[in-house]
Amino acid sequence: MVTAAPHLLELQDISVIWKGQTLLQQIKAVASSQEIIGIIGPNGAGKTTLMSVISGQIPPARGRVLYQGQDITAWPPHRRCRAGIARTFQIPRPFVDMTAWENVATAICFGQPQKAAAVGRSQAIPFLEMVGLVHKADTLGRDLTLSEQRRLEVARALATDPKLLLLDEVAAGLSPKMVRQVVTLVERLRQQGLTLLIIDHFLNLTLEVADRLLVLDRGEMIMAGPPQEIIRHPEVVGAYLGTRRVTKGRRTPG
Amino acid sequence: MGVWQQAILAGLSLGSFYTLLGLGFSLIFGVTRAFNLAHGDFILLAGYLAFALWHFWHLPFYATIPIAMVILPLATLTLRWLLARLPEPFELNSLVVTFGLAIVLQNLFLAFFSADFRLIVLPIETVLSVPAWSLLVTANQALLLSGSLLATLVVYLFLYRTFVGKALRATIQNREGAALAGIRVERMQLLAFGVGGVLVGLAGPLMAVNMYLHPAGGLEPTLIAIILTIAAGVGRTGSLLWAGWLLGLAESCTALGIGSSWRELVTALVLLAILTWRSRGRINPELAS
Amino acid sequence: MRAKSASVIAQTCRSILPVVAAALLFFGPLLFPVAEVYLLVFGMACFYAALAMAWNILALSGLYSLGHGAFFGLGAYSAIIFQQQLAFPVYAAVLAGGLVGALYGLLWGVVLKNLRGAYFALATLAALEIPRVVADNWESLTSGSMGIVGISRLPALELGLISLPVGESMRGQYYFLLGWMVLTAVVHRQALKSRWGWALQAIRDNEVAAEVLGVNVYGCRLLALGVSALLTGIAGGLYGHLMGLIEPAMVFSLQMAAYPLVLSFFGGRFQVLGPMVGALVLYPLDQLVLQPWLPQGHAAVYGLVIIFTIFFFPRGITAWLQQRHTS
Repeated sequence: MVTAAPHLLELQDISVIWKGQTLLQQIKAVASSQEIIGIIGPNGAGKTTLMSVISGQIPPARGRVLYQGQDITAWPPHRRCRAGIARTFQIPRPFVDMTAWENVATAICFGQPQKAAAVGRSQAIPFLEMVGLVHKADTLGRDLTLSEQRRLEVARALATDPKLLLLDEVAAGLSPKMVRQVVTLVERLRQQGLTLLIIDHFLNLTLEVADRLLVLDRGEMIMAGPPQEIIRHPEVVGAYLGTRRVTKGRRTPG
Repeated sequence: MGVWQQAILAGLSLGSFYTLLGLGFSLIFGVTRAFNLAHGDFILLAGYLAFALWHFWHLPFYATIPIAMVILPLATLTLRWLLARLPEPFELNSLVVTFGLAIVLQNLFLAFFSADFRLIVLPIETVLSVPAWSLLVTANQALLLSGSLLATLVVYLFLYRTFVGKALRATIQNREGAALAGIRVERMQLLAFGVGGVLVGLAGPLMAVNMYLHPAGGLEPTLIAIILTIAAGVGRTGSLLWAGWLLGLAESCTALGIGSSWRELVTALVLLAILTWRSRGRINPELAS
Repeated sequence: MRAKSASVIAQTCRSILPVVAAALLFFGPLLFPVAEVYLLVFGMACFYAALAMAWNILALSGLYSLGHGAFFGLGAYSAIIFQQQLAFPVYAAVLAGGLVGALYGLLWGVVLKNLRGAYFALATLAALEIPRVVADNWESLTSGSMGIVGISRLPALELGLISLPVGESMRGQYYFLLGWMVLTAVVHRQALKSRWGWALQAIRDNEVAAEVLGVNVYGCRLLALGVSALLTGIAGGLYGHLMGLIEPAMVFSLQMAAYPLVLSFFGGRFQVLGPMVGALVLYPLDQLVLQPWLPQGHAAVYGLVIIFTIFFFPRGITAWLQQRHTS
């Protein structure tokens, strides 16, 4: 009997409740190898919460996270990182008292599947090259501009040798030219075998690269499908405008 | 004389005093989010001041209270001046600096008053006798109860019935929002520190009458103030009063049941319980939404 | 020309000074007749240097403890109890006392797992009170608040063929404490320079980023807690023999976190020798200069120093001097 290979990532009925508020409600999703999936939705929809559940930083109240067929719901974040799940943050979190290359070196040292003993500057440089930050390799994290910090986030995440990369608003506020650079990078990463989940509130990135879009609104996944279909759908438009009617007896806006 | 009734009375009067301790701390913490580890030592400062006035200058006890209530705001406003100049990270640095301040104050008390236990003795012992409830109210307890409850009432009225008070509450709840609404946050901070100072100035003399003053005695009031503020929520007078009474009753019943030497253990366990209860299942807000 | 030669002199002084100081510290008492009071004070300075480094190991993980006196006191009492009631040899008892402290530290790691910053510090204050009140009241075990008196001096340390007379002379005690300080410094160095030290740096810089980049935050912190508590507990065990007596208020005291905190901040929390420098400067200053002048209240200097340090040189005096040297 031939069983299908498990998806790289599978979310089964993920619910997150905090202080009585439901942040995520019964989210189901799958991601296959080398897919690029965009997670979109209005503010407060739960996109970052979902990412934090996958990275292991927020435990779900209900549901399971499966990675390469294994139930990793109870795995702490560092274990997931070593297994190949990496993420960036919407507001960058560089190590402010370390230089850019030291930031990357930390990721190499602790995030890779095999324990690395001593990591030198030369090993960190290639990752800085990928994001165009080599000229700032010796600058302290606190002295980098916001845009440079964002790029450092990506370099660090890549330095952990991930199979699944979670990008949170990596293209927000970027000029079209810079978005193009990100698109090129993302495509190249896919060629190299990565799967990417990209949170993209303004859709400027995912429309270009994503195979599929998942739409979140108020903690629910309201729609999934190819980008061109999704952006035209009235429900999605309504979610962004705040005019979407919410079922199950919760308050309706507008 | 009913032992349990006496214990309950003791618990309530002590608890009301605890509320007073917590009020000053709560206001200051509310507007700055700074943990003032020297809070108890400020109260001791007021207490020692009252003691010095009573003992060396032979002022009647009741005169020392208004004097302390005027002088202590000077100390708390100086603290504010200091805190405003702190480098980042604010939370940890304010903890360490106020810790240092507490050490300085403790040693000042040691230098001026020595390690001897000091107490202000009131001329009248018992004030009230209620035979129906087997109750004997000492002057100290009456003083604690009336002083603390009166102060709590005044603060409540201030916070909830006056315009300035409401602005202060708004600042406590949401500093940025208050600023956006046109409230001058810096003025609110000065106000909070000033009112806090007045409350400390009241608490000090009351403490000097009721409990022995000694240089290392500042830690306990600080801990109590912090426990109550965390348990009751910042700037909420009603819950603070209930929390104070609960703590006071718990302590006095423990003292009756097991013995007073275990009292500090109760305080410690309560603090631990509140802290760990508070922290369970916390989600870092930056990781959500 | 003149300015250049002046700066060369200054630079030479700066490089020579630490070497001279170290030489004096290690060889002085062997070469010169040193008055007992200096051996006592500098010996205790070494003791507090070790205590400061032990405390700092936990601080390097981003957690400031105000309750380290708990480990100190547990070490002090356990060591005496193991020795007097279970007939442990002295040094074994001291080590066992340290282990008791370490166990309590690991308990902190589990119970206080989610606490950070000021909330953690407050919890440690509460966690200090618990063993103190127990020691104060469990009279059959600890003689309660009267304390345990008549503790013997440290016996000779048998290391294979060598027997070091530790407790008999002030010089022996001085070298013992110097050695203990060096041992603690080796561990302290690991907490700064090893792979674990790198992890600690990442954790204290940005814990959320560290955990998502593969750092086992909980594990590294537990290790820091255990090691810090162990070293502090051993110090507590030694303290009884140094002082001759212990009582709850003395060993379960805020001082045992306050001193290390001030000394580490002042000396430099991120330098291997930082806390050591802090201790060797401040403690003798306090004991030899300030105490005679102000017998009650001289300890205020520690409070003033920490306030000054936070405002003017938050990374400590060694880092500040280095910075001035390079700029």
